[in-house]
Amino acid sequence: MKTISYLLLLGAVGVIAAAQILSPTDTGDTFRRAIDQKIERVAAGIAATPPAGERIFTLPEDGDRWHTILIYSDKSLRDPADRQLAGTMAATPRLQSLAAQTAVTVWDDRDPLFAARYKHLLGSVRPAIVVQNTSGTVCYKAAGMNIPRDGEQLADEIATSIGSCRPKPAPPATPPVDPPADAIPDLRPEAIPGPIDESLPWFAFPLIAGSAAAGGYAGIRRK
Amino acid sequence: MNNTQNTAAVIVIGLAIVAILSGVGELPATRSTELPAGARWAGEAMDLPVELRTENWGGGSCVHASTVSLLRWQGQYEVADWWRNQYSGGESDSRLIARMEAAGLRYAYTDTGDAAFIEWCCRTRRGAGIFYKPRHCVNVVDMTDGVVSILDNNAVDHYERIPREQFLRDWQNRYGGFAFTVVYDPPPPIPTRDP
Repeated sequence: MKTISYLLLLGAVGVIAAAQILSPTDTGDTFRRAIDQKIERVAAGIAATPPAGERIFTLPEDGDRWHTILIYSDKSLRDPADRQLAGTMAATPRLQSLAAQTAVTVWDDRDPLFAARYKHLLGSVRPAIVVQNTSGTVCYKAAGMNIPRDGEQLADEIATSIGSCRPKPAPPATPPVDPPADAIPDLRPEAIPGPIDESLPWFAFPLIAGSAAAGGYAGIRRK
Repeated sequence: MNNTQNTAAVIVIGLAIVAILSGVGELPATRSTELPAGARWAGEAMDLPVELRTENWGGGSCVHASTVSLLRWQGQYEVADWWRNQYSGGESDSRLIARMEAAGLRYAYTDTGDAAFIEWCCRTRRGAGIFYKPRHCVNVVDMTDGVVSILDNNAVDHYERIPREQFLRDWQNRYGGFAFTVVYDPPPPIPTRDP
């Protein structure tokens, strides 16, 4: 009989406890709020924890890229000629492709590093566009009025100069080594390339003039 | 040859002289690969002009000076000026990283003496800052198979050349093996005309 009574008592206590847990009493709400607050504090603590001391990621292997250099009078592009070049670069897909394949540097005359290291080598006519290979060889340079206003023509000229600026073939004694194809910008158009600029280079005029002068002088002496 | 021909010859000679003289001094503003003779790449991966090299200040801001030089080299002038004005005095590796993180910089570092990290910094021409010499920080401006070149912010007018093995031994064992850099775009090589 005593055993039955103990069992009934235990059962009653269990039922009451279960009812307290499951019923939405003040005690249960307080308990849940306390748990929620604890969770919030833990979450806040996680958010406030500094980032992990070591984050491993792939460092860019971009040391062998070609370079496209745009030199403006003012990087704010107030000058119409600057805006023309910037617009041509932005509006021509092949020049956008060039930019994507090369490291693009934008300078103006106020840039201290440009002024100290490059300006005396790249001239003072603005705007200017220069394409260099990985070792610094100037493969293409155009400045001022010599920059084609047509983007496709500019892309053609640059593509031609890149072709002539590729690494030279290895000597016969050693096995031929192909240059890394992905490192050389490829601006080849899908259609037939445009005409090659066959105008005389700048230094041809003094040579012609000098020759003419020499001829004239010889004529004077013969007389 | 009559007088008219003589006059024409003189004019042509004068024009030729003017044309030649006007082309002296810089690359002509034409499509060309010409450069003045003697224009060669100096060789250092990080070759900041002397006037842009950051000297130590405030009696011990070598870590910040090295950081500012890296920022200037990679074209981050405004951040460099901000950093120069914001921080001074001694600095630890962990606080430097925390400050670069707080400033939103793109950076990379090693604190395990990993020589490959410095090699990468030089191979990509970004340069590095390292803890080197007793309680000091300098820039690594180049690293070859035989020699490491450093720029000490206490003497910015020249580079120090240290045998590679000695450098690595000291950096890894005596000075803790900490190196860092910022990850932006370094300037292109100095233009040359020869492939």
